[in-house]
Amino acid sequence: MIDISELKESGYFSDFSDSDLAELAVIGTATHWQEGEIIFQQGSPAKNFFILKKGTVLLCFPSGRSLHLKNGGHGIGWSSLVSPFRYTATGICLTDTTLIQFSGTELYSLIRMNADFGHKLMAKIARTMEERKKYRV
Amino acid sequence: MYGVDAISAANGWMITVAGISIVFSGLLVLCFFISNMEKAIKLWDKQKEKVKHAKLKPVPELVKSKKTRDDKKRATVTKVVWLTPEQVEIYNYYRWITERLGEPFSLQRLLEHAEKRGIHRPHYHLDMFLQEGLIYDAGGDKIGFHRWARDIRIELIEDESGKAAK
Repeated sequence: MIDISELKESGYFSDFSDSDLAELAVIGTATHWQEGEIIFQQGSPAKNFFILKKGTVLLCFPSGRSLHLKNGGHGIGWSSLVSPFRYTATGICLTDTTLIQFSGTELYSLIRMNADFGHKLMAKIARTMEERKKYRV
Repeated sequence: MYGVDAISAANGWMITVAGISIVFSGLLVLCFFISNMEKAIKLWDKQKEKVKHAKLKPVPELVKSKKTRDDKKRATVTKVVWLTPEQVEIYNYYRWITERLGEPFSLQRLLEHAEKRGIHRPHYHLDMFLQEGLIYDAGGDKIGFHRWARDIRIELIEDESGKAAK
């Protein structure tokens, strides 16, 4: 469990209500990763969704393209919420990194229970997917 | 004709001697190769080590050059980045790798090469070069691939005594 203020600070959930954030805070965990550590491998089963809180992550796509994500507020691992539930890139920590981790299954439970929350979250995921689409080709 | 007479008549002895010499020559070569393998491996390791610690030819603008040349360059330089000698060495190494990869290059490939060559903290240094703007996204249809910035001059951080800082 994490503090709601951490979610607010991250910026990713800025348009979510306090009650939504409270529910997210229950299932969120702060995880710490070391420089050079691989968060997930492209093609592996996508089980978790992450919000970048601190540090830098490099998303490496099979096309050879890569996306440099720094500082907070980036959503990583949208594949955990979208079929076929396999990561489309490899996530590598370029520095010591703190991520807020959410289990895909638990996020799905929240989506099932709260339609408004689900709509907002999936809209964000769709935007992220669209932004990163050009890196996948 | 049978037996030894038949062997002699058909040049059997010569063929036997030739066969034995071929086999033994082969074994001799093999023996020489195996006995020198250790030296060859040592030489290989030495070369690898050399490559690892090679100080590549510095890019002209890295080190303090003549004033006139510097002044000319200043016209196109928009930013100055200060690096420690170790960072400069790694910067040069990364440039050397990307020269072989070609521009625009893939950061993933660059990292793979850097890790393979045992560069000190390759991820950290890559991040630093990206944050400082030394490496930038090529954009357009090459989005996600990267290039080296040409308008940034690198200066070496020196300590008070004027010697290069460690």
